[in-house]
Amino acid sequence: MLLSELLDLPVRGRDGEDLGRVVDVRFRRGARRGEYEGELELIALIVSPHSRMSMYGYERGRVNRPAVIATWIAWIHRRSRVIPWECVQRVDEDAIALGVAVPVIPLNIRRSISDSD
Amino acid sequence: MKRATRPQRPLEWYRDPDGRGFDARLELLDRQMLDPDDVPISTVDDVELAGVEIGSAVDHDQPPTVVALLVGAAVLPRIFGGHMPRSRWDRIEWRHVLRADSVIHINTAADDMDATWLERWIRDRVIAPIPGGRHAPE
Repeated sequence: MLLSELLDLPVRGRDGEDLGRVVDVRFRRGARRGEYEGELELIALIVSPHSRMSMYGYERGRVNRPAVIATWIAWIHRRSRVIPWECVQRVDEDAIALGVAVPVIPLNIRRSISDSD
Repeated sequence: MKRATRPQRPLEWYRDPDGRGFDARLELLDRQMLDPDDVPISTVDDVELAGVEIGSAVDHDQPPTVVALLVGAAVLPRIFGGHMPRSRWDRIEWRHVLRADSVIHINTAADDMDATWLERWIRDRVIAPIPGGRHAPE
């Protein structure tokens, strides 16, 4: 499938609750194959409950200037979270369904994982 | 076939997978691709994934992987919505990627790729017949 088919899809929890939309997809870069780049393995979806907009690089919590823009982007993507790929049960044309209850992993690295919504 | 499970790794790993995290929209889409002579090929318009299909349950035996970078007329779907038909995309297989950082380095010469045919066609058939179109400005 194409990455663009995955981006923007709504994500539904195990009980059908709406968790937001896929705003990015996280890969893990594999070991290099000699002079070539290693494989990219899909490990997680980045899901935002409030906006489909790009995060313009502010999502990791390491970039925070200019403060007005950083605050605005943080607000429109508040409670964005990382959903491990192994929790995904099914990908349909109109939604992604999770097969298990997923712990909240905040995307913002300044928030600890034990902070739940 | 392996079904969906609870996270199999420490939760912090999904935020920073061994320092090897790579986010598609942030670090791959729209990146410039260069050939071995640093000639621009195109930008990454879309990415083809293997190991997951729309409309079917996900098999977790193997994680999905990137198999190709796609180049095509991506502007129209971005403005009007929808998707380009598969036949309209040109593929550059991931195994040809030498390095992916601020630009994507590909191991094949730009002139040998299907992905640059339109640019070559315009250069040879439209620009070249114009007087002075075969050399740099003096």
